[in-house]
Amino acid sequence: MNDTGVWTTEVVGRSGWWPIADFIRTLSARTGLVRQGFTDANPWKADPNRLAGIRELSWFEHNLSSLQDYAGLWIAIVGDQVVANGQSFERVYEQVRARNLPDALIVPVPENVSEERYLIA
Amino acid sequence: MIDLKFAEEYRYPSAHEIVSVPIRIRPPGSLPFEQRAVLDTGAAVSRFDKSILRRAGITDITAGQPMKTITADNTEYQCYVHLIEIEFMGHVMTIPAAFCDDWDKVQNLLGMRGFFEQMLAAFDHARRKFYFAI
Repeated sequence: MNDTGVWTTEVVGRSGWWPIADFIRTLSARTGLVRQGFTDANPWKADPNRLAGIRELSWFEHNLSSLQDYAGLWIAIVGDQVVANGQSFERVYEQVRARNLPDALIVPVPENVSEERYLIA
Repeated sequence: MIDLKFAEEYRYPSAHEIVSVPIRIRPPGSLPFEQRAVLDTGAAVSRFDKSILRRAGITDITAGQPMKTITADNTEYQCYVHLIEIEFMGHVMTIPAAFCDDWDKVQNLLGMRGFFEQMLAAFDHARRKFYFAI
């Protein structure tokens, strides 16, 4: 813990102790080992990031027809790349969490990506 | 003449005529995650896909406030409203969100109660811009 008690906040969190893996990831962020997709240097402190997901969402919406390989799956996007995929949100979330990518956009891909569909809600 | 001022502008993707936005869901004590949602002034309340329930920190869907909802095709659903913390364009907000066991891979919608209520908002769909002030 440092003088400001920051580590305490990060490690203990708001509702309990973090797993040791989370603690190690936090330390990695603190020491500058920042990877692609990690635009928030301290996700556990949950600093707001007003740019989070904007680029990813735009890429997803404009490139949906190119995602045939992922039809029916959930995917995670960072920038203009699919960084994880799986049958369920949970599976993709676990991959994103393991790779420490809090700014990855997790979305389901429709079964038929080439068909134009419009939402009426 | 009514003169409204907005602090922020969001240029949204124009692919499918809807106003889709990225939001972060901030579960208590866990890694935030990003989802796509649609700004829907026609929705009385925000609704979310059931897949995120567990990661949003909700272990019992029925523990929320019961609410009958009806969708645009007149289908009625029994759903449950939970308070969740989200981040919208850098703004942290706590909003009521309806979940339903039948909503699997549905579009997340951000609706009037507790979401649009918290802001001044305007759409310029011709230019694909959303203006807001929180």
